[in-house]
Amino acid sequence: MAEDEPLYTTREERQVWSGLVTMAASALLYYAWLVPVLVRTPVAEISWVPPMFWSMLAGMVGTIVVAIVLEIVVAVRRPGDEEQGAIAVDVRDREIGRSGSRFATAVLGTGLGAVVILAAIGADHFWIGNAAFLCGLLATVAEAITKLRLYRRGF
Amino acid sequence: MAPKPTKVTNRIRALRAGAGNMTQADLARRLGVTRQTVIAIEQGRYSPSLELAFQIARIFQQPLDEVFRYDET
Repeated sequence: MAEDEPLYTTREERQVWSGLVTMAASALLYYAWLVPVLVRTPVAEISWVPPMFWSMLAGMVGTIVVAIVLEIVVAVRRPGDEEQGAIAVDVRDREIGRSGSRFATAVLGTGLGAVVILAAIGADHFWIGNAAFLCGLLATVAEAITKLRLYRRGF
Repeated sequence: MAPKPTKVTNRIRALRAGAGNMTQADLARRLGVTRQTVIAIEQGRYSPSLELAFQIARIFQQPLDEVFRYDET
């Protein structure tokens, strides 16, 4: 086993990467559809629920597919890692996971506050639904970036 | 090179060499952690929990402060 090797990713870190990339990509696709429609159509007439649903579904399924593909690639390129397959998640992964979740909860809580305010002032369902979607997206991205920063820079 | 996020330094690499060239993978297996965690500890990118630090010291049969140092400067 080579010493002084670079800090390769763990399985947990790879899952964070796959989640971040696929969720961000699927959200970008949703906004790429939404923004042009929003410019020329009143919000009450926009059929936003199916595209948002498909975007979320694509993000979740994409995360799983990308994670599986990544593991296959790693298994082929770094066969030595298989020997530690029994230790998929360790104490460092759990500490990083807790830090990421704490940050995500703060973002989610703030965003949900905005959703409640929109509902309280009687905003259109479009704005309420999209605020909730954006809030979930921001929490997911914030959690992933926090975790990746801790994985790469240390703590 | 970015500054290390922890002031805790360690002699794990030297201790591994003194323990019959124990590999990072061997140590990781004995600790029940991933090899990446051992690498992160050695590189000063992760301060292990007290429990993990004691486990490392016990494996090398050294007092804790012979394995880990806290640099206050």
